[in-house]
Amino acid sequence: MPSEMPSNGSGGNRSRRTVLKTTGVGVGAALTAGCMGGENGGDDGDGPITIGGTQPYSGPFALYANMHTAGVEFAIDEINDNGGVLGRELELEAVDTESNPSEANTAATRLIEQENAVALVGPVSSDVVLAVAPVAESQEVPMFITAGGDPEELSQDSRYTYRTVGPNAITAASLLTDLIEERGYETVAGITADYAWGHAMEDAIQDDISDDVEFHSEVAAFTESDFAPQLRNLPDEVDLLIGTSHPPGVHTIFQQALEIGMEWDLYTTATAPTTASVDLLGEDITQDYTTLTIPDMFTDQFADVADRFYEATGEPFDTTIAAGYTTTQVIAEAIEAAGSTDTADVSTEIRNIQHDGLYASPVQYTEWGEPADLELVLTGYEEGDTPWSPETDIRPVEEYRSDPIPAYEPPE
Amino acid sequence: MVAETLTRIAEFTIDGITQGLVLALLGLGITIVFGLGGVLNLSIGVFAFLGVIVAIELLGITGNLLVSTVLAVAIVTLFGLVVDKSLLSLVYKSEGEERILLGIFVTLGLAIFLDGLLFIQYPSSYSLSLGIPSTTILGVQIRGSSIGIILISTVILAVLYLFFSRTYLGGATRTVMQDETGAVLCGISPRKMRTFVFALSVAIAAIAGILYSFTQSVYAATGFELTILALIVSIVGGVTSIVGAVVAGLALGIIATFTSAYVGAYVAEIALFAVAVIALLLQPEDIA
Repeated sequence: MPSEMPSNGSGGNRSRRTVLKTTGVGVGAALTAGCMGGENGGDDGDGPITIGGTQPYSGPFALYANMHTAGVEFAIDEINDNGGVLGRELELEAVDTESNPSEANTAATRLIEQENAVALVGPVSSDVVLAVAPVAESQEVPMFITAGGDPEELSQDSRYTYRTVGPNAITAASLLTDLIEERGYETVAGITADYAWGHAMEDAIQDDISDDVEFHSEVAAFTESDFAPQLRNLPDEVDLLIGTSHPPGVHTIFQQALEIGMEWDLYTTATAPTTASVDLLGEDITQDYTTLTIPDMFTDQFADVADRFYEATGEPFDTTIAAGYTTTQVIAEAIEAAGSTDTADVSTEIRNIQHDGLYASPVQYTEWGEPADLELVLTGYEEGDTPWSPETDIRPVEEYRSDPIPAYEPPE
Repeated sequence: MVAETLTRIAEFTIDGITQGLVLALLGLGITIVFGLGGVLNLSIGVFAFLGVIVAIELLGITGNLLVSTVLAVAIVTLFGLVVDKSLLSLVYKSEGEERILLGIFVTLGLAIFLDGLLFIQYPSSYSLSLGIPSTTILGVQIRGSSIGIILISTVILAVLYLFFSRTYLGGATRTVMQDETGAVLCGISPRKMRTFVFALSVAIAAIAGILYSFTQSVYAATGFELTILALIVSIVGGVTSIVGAVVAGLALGIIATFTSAYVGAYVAEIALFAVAVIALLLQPEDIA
């Protein structure tokens, strides 16, 4: 019976060589195709201007990604309705990074090289930011961090990486230590997530806190969902319970702390989406739960945008949505000021910008991308009608507002 | 100081039993399907998460937790039946190791597919509340959710025990697990029993997921974490032993809680895997 492939005939060898050659050419073409996108640092001047989204649509920060994207898309719609930027429309091209650093790195590279993104938005987890920031710096494309707060994300040499609504851990800790001192808190406890942000916060608080304040901290895994063992190791009554150093667990920590009978004067969180917190916690959120926010929910401007967003989408406006909205406005403003989509020029304009929008303080940056003179707000909750979500009967109240905090300066 | 330590130990023990009972249910779900049909159901965690989501959606309509929970379990079980009649029918056409491998890939593929959909539709975190207030007995603070979970799980496990040991259907199930040929000779249809057991395991998973959500928030990725835990419980308990799965679940829940409290949360995860490895080394014939 003849075999399918002749064992020694030249016809068989020619066929094998042809397959190998074809495969080699195909692989070569595929490899070089990735290098043949638009030039680094800008697009070709035609068609829509692309903002690249390296968003964690799956994983523990999926909610941030969806809400941030909603804000970006709403801003894009409004900007395009008003004539676009440099006479061109804006568009968002987003990729799911799965909160995975290597996926995020690949996504960022592809968005810049193949989609000609003039800016990147979206990284949340500090580990992802640390993977994407080098791409932004080497490709010279501005990248806006949604929430990562590891101080090492920015260095004195950073020129294309910018923080938005996630203060760095040192800045966030500064708010908390000021709060502790101002209110005379004597017993402070917290749960620390075992990753960059968590440890940076814990270290910063321990360094800054007064010696006569008792500070208790328990470490829990980043993906932990049962915090009862750690919470039971903390004092039953504390002045301040810090959930800020464990962003993925802020809601569960609060629920479980309530359940095991812990008592506190104030519970602080990270920049968790406010509407999601209200949905998940319900009335319990009025038990001294506060969200750390940079957007200022108490201004007429915020209420105005919230109304327009609700009218357009039927969904409540939120601080995380406000982050996406504001970042897009900043990008558009910088492109207009630069008069081009050359990313180096755009980034220069970003560093010159002073954007008065939905934040507690104007958006302005240091040379290395850290927000300058940032004001932070601790937002609490009480029962009542809210101006930013007609469907809920819980409204935000201002619990504490920081003075402008000088920008963190990375070491040389 | 001693009294405080004893109080803490009692609290951790109760927390551990609570977690252990949920693990026991999940482990049972994997064990009965593997024991009966040789299928390692790696989508069990997704069914657990689905139970929570459906219950929450129904709660928004009915306003009644009990009704929503019962309906949610029924709906997820129906979905499980569809999976059994479609995907698993392909798997059951194979035998032996081929069936095990095919079952792994099919159920894993299903889990990944459902996870992707759930991440898009339900990206937030979710929890349910039993509404039982926490209480303190002799200085030991007991969470309200623990009281509810211990009571409900105990009843469910007792019912399952009575079912498998005292009913004809339960006996038929055990017969197929022990000797499929003999079961056929007795007029028992192995395929119908596999369908029944798979549906039962999905129902158990949905209940476990809902119970789990009484103590902590869950999100789409929790499904995969629960599957891993269920596997560990099943391995430690002996993958075809129902009693073993229950005992293993309880033991692992207590080990994880104490390790997390006194050593560290990461070490607790490592401890669970270490126990599974030791179980495999000591009793490899149970897995073969």
